[in-house]
Amino acid sequence: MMTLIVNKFHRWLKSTSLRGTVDSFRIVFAAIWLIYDLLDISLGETVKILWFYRGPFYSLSVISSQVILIFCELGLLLGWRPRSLAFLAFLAFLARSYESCFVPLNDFFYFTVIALILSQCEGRRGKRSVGGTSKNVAAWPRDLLVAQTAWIYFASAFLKLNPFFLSGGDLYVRQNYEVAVLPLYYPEFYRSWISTLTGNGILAGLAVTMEMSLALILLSWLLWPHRRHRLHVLASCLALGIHGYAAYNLNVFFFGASMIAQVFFLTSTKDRGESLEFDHCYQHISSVEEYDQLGKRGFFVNETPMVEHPGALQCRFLRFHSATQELGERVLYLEFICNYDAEIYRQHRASKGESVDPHLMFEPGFSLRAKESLEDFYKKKRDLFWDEGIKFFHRNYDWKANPLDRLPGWNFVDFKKNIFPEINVWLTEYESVGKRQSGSDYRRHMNTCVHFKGFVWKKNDKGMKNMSSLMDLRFQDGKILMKDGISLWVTEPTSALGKEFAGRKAYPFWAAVLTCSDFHAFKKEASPDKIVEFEGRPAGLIQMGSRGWDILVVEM
Amino acid sequence: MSKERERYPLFIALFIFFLGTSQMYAFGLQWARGFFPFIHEPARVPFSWDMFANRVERCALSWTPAIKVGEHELSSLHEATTSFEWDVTYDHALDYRANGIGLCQLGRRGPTQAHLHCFLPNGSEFYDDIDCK
Repeated sequence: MMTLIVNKFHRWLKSTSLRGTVDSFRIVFAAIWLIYDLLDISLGETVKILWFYRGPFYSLSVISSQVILIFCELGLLLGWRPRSLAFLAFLAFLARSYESCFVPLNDFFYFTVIALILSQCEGRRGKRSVGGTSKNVAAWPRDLLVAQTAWIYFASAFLKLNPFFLSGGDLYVRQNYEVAVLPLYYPEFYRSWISTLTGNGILAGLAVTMEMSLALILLSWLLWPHRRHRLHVLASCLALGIHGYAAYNLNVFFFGASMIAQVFFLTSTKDRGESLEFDHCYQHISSVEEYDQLGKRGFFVNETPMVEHPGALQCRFLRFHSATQELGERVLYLEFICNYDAEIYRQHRASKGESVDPHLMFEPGFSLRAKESLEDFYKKKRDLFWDEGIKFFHRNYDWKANPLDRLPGWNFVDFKKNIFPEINVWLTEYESVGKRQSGSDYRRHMNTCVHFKGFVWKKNDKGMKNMSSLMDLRFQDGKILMKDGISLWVTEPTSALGKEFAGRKAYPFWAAVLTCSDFHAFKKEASPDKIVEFEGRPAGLIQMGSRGWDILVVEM
Repeated sequence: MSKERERYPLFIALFIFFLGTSQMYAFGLQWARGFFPFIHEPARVPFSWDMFANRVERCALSWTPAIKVGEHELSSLHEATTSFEWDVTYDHALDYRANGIGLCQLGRRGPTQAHLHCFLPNGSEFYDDIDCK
């Protein structure tokens, strides 16, 4: 039991999420409390209040802690040493909470706890991660922040379960006091409503229900990752309702704004569609000569197979830069698989319970790379692709020498039943930095091909729906544009482009689209089999065998 | 994967333990101080997240004519702060009364009356005018 808990804890520590959400929260959190402290210090509000309560503190010590806080909040806002400054802010606010012990404000206690957790979140200048980007960070600080938020709402709602609050007494006192001292413009019916205990009692019941619901929703967010988008919307609406009401009726602005930001940003699923990027795609070629032919067309080819996979599969590659300038340093590849012993391959597939139907054995593949923990991604999608037989598994890089121990290697998610008919779609995660960088030996192609632009598949409604669900992106005008700038086009066999492939191809994966820097030079070097029109521009078509996809090249 | 992330699991476990136990202790303290669901309200305990759950009374306190505190003229306690977010409050009507008289004696410039308009959690309100002596 203990081992199970420890293992689960280790897995949780290793899980990753995209950086943006915690960064966004940190910036908004810092901005809210920076405004608070600037207003507070310039108006001398805390000093005044302490004077009223006859606190035995010098205003200088209060102001000093506020100046430190302002400095820390600026740092958090700008992302300058955010971890150290969050910890310093925690200490400064703790000191201020102590100074203000005559005014035990929950707002101050809240700030100290959140600043302390933020001090454990990776800073903006984190080191680069797998794939050359630094977008993924440890997920546990974000989970901890969400759990902390859930606890705050739960404890707050639970402590409100007392006769004084539930009777409406608290809201009666506070709201009528605000009406007496503030120029609040409540409608007449509302003034009349809050002048009675019954009216306030109903509001109190509603408040407790909303807070408790929000706590449970946040807990569900942690427990059921695949439902996060809906839970995010619900949680944000509840937080907005609770704190919007408190701001208007109870004069609580900064704490409320901070809590809304906390719920909104930390549970955000705005990274939907950003967690996957294209990694590579493959086709089975009938002989090595087919690959070597590409060398004669100006592509840089390797003479020896680079990687061997189980089943007597030798793999050769063509490498290109990704589509966007931003991700220009990321190198992606096309994989050409040559099966040197059909019987070994057949036996290997049979041993894995895969079909040995020749048509299915040689279908092309399309791999996406997860930017977050692939295991977490799998958990999110498990229910959605249950019928397709989604599964998560690991293979050591050194699978030949040691296939049994859990060593650094690939993590895979694949599907027993293709999610796009006749195309093997799966997901890969590469463990351990630098161990397995696919683009380490990128060489310039003489035919001036540089970038990946996308892929052309035959239209299939069910397959498109599945791809859309997998990537959290929608098809628009017949294509999905991934966040890494690579597109997936789907086209009818009857379209002008579709006709180029429909008769010749055995599988619906029709073409990989590349861009070249000089189309004229490309034509001269590669001697394309045909010039076709693609997206309104001339494109050179290099035809491959019926089992594989063609290569379509357009000018950048 | 960033190396920043590769901190000791023990440190992280201790960090979470500290965070959890300190708040659980505060929550437990509420019970020790008499809180019981549907029976008794909680006390003020830091880090127990008792927002709006404690029993409070509130009074609007004003003076006629205005008193002078330091360099400021105050016709009401609320004027001591801005009308946005910050406010000087006490939890009991008696504290408002004591401070109303105390501040009045400190800052009055002639015959002065302190006025209280109080709201109590039983749904009642009352007014009190006090002559500062």
